[in-house]
Amino acid sequence: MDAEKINLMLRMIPDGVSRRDFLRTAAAGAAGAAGALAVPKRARAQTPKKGGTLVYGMEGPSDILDPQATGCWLTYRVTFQMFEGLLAEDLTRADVAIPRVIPKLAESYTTAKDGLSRTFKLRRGVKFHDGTPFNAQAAVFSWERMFRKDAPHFYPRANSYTSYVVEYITGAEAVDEYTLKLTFSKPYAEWERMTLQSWGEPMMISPTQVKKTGNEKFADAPVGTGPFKFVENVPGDRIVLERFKDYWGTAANVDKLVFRRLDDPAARVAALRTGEVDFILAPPPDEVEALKKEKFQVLQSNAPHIWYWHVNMKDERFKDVRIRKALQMSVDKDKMCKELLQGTARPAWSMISPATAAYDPKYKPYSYDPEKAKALLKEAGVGSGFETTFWTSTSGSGQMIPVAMAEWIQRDLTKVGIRVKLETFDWITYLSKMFQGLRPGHGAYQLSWGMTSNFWIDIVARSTRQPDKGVNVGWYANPKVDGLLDTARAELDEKKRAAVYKQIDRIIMEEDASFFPICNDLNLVVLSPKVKGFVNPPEEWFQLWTPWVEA
Amino acid sequence: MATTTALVVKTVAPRPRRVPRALGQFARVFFRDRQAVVGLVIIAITGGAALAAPLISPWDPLTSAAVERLSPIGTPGHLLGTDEQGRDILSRLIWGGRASLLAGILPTVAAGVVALFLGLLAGYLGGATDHVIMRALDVFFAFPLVLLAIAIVGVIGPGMNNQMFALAVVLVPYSTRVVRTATLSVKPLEFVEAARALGASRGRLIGRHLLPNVLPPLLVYTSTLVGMMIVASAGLSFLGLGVQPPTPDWGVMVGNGRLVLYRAAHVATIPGIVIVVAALAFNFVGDGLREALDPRARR
Repeated sequence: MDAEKINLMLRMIPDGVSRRDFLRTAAAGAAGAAGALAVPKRARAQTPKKGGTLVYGMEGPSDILDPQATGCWLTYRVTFQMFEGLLAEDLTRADVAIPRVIPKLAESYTTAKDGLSRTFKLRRGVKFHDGTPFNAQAAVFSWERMFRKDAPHFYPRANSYTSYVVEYITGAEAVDEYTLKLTFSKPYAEWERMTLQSWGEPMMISPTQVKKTGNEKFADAPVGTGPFKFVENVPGDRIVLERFKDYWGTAANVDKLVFRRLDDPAARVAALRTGEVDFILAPPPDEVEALKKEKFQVLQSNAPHIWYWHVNMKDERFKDVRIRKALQMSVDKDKMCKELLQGTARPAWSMISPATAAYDPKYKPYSYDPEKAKALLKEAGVGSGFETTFWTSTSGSGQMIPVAMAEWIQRDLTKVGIRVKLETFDWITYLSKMFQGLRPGHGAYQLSWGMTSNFWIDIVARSTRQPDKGVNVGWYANPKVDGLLDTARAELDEKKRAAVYKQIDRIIMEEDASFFPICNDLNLVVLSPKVKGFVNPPEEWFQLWTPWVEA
Repeated sequence: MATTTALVVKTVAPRPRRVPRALGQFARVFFRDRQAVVGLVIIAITGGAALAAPLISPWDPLTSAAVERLSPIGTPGHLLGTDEQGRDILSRLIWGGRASLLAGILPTVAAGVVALFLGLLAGYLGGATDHVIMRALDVFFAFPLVLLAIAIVGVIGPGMNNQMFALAVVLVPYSTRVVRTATLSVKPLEFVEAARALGASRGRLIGRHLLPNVLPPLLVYTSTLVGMMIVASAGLSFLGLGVQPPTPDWGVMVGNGRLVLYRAAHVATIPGIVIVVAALAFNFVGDGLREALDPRARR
């Protein structure tokens, strides 16, 4: 059975059956069909209901709705429902370590042996929301908008956002009506996964619509091929989508999706309790137990999330690796996750995101050891401690409860003599600071990020990506790491590639201690009891066409 | 808001030699007002506690105590319980008074001084000077007060000093209006005319005759602003623009406590009550001042 068929079958079974149950049954039965018939009674009562509205109380703003020219998890939670790419991640399962890569608008594809071209067989019978047929010409149009600087519809903003995807693409060609060929200047092993990330989303958009609206206005009337189509966007308030009737795949269950902006965690929980919204993310950790008692469904996932500090390699103090190592041992992450975060996150010791091939949950290069940290500081000549400034935001995408967390960390650091002055900023101001980089005197910049692709570490740690050319805020530069990043990028064998990324992480964490990871968020989703069939996959976004709302 | 207390302007002819008697009269009326006295006592207690924080605070407000976080009111050793970080709430309230009261008082006083200067100038000189000053200030009125403060702090950077500076700036137009109105109503009165006829200099006129008459309404107005500024500074701190963590501040305490509202309601409500009470106290004192400074009430 090919991946897409499994995916389709999985999508058809009611979500009341755990996927694992189903697979077990399927394996035990003589054929997959027998398994599909053996649907337990419990599940039969839970046939998906069509219709209704699903309201998501979103924890921050979405950026513009032009997928190729935008970024961030929050935005992708919206655009993911409207647009599709050639490939996709299978987000129908919560019980896998990494979401599988499955074909979407492509039915299959092949990679040339030298890694310099990929040929896609496209799905037939796919229509954009405006009726335009999807074919190789449409696909070429979408790709050229992102990479071909001399194309009439080239969009620089899309090019900059999707740079991690299109950097090495040299051509997009329609071989025939349903065959697309992309050519590359260098082999790029993680390319598939990188097309599935939220920072610059290389999704297929309607050429007719772009010609009608122009590149910039497309975001106001976006047209894709996904199960939902755009209705309205009231900035700062709500985004509304509705079911696309001519969708090529299984139609969405709910008629309408509403994304209501509710930045404030307390307000978000209140809206969930009053029934104004059907589900939320990032509840205040101290509310989780109460919400469970009130019969709300709480789902967690092994999302590719790291809450970490970029340590400033240009700072007078943190230049010294001994001080950076002392930092790693000075915070009791276990206690913080257990008490302040109430078990909604796990301590993080590595800069490899969970839900990736190179992630090793057992890897723990340091442990909480304030005495050893003090000894290291003394060795570095700052035995009496020193003062520094750390930056964080007051809220933001994936930031959890940043100020409370920073205060907690600050207290632990004070105990070993690292006296941190905190400076907090609102999210948008904070992000703009990222592109300026840290100045001497500023010890660290905090961020929550991660991807299901290990290429992520290339984005944050490569020396050529220092501001303003990238987001290497802490000015980390190690030629050895750069070299290994090159090796990994060209290594087409997944296992070998993961091993290289692991090696990079070891250098970053043990030799250089240039990043200071704190925890991995379990990405809690809290749903009203009437929402069924929601899957919280090991990803930072989710599909909203499978859940339904009971009356 | 800006006009309620400002429009009723009372005039007092200067009686410099009888200052002690005037003060006595003022005190008699003020202390007869029970509300005002209660307000003054509350301010004295909170202010005193904030000043004496190092002596009376039972715990360090920055480090967590040995007990659990979110422990309830009445926990042994922690009279008001502990907050979301496990810090003693009472200690944070006592220390927080420093930031909160300062953020309430300093901007209003600073704005008052600037407003006195601008308002007297505009009111007394009139004409082009008046127009330039008042129209320039009108620009500020176009923006909501807190929004303007956010914009200013956004430009000059977060921090407690910058936050107080921003609040002072946004209060200037309001206070200036009060001073100017008072100046305009006093300026045409006979005693001012008389002084001028006797050859009093411009400086003497403003300093000796106008100032004592515009000061009381400004004082009354300013005292009612203090409570509002405590709340506004709390808002700015909540947005990350004011007091930076972990420095205790009443507004910040409310903001942080909201995240644990269902599980431990006291964490947000206790500082909330303190803010309300402190703001009320300043308003009581303001009312008392108005009464006491009103010549009719004195008789």
